[in-house]
Amino acid sequence: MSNIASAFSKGKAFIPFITCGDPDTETTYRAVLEAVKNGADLIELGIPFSDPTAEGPVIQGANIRALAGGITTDKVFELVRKIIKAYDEYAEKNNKE
Amino acid sequence: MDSKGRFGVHGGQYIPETLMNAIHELERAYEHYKNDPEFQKELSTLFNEYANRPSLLYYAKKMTEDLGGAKIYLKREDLNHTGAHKVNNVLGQALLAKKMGKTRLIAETGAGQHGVATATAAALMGMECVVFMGEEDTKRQALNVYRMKLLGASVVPVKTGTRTLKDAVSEAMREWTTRVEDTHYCLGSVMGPHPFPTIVRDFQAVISKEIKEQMLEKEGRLPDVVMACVGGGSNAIGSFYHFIEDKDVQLIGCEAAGRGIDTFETAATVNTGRLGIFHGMKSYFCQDEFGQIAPVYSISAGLDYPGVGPEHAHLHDIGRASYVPVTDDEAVEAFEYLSRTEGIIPAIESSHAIAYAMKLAPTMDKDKIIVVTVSGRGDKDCAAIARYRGENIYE
Repeated sequence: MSNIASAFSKGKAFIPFITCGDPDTETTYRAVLEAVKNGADLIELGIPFSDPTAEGPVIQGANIRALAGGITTDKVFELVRKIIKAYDEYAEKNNKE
Repeated sequence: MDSKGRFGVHGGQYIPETLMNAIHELERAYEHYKNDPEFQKELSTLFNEYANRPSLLYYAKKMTEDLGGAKIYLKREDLNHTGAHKVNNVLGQALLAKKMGKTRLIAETGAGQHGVATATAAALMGMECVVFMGEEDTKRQALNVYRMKLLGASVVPVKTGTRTLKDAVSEAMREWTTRVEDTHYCLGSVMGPHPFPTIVRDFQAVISKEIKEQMLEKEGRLPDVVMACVGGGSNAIGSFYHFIEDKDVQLIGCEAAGRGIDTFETAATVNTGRLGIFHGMKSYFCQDEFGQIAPVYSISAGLDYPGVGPEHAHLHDIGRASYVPVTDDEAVEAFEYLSRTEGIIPAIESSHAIAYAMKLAPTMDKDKIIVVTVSGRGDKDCAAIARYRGENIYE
């Protein structure tokens, strides 16, 4: 079963949304790991855009702060690689316990 | 145009699902009413009895003699009610909205011209009207804010992003998603998701239809060049449309280069932009290497937009129209030149087209003909131009 399918194995899933790089990638990294530890089944990462037409004021603000902090698409993928590595280590440790 | 609102690779419907129903409803309604003789009759009555159409095609004799080349005609959209071509589109969309049973119009505006035109149509048709305007622009164009309120509209200052035109478009789209049942979004240019670029073009195409008739009557032949300024590109596509199949007629769009296309302070999208997707359409946009929309600049608030309509992007791709950059300095000189030479004060937007005509006409033979569309009147710009020239005038 894929990770996404297994996330819905209970019927419902808890899916936090986090804007990458708000206000920096280190904060995003820590926020994602905390969400995992606190029971998130899936995490949606937002790539900041200068003009987020479909977003409300809260996520618009997050996008603007992230871009002001220097986030780029390249840095988002770098961050995702780092998160996957940390998650794999976390999952392996939990499986052993 | 191909299916699904494509112009070559451009156009399309890149919108959130929340807008899809509204867009489909609009598409169906427009498909029906564009072929309805009753609708077309009502629209042409509004054009002729209310908006002062047909607008004049004026032979600029002094300008022609002074420049010493091609014969110059001016298409006087500045003489329309509300002072610009914007009214053509707004009357069409307001009538369409009314037929669709909508009671409320929302619109975005930059300098305020489209907002004023929408407020005017709403007043005429007894509809509620809300205009979204960047907070920066409400300060720069305080008089137009007052005009809209006088006409019964409410004006919402947009405080997101750069607080200018593109943010006003985003905010109007957001508002539309939350209130589709009674509200029509009256988009002001040939941009956004399909069917807007087609709807706005069809309502503005009256400009080229009239130019053609008037030119045949006055000169017995078609012009050699038709030119107009391009921001989103509604007056330009309106001026070009009925000439697109007449391959001998050269079509030229004049973009706002701001301080120059080699600087970051420019809004010349075709000349400096790249292919992208924004505000519901695929087209050319001013953007950075990661696809973030770049801040744009022009002295003209009406041309200060980071994209261009998808049909223009396509006409550029296939080489049917050419798009030339015109700087702030050149536009201001043209603004003053036309005022002095012909007694016509053109909008600073339109002055971009006048400026290029001043360069092109002397290089052409005297038996050639240029038509320049004067998209709007320049009274709104006088204080800003005076300040540009160092005179401390405030409205």
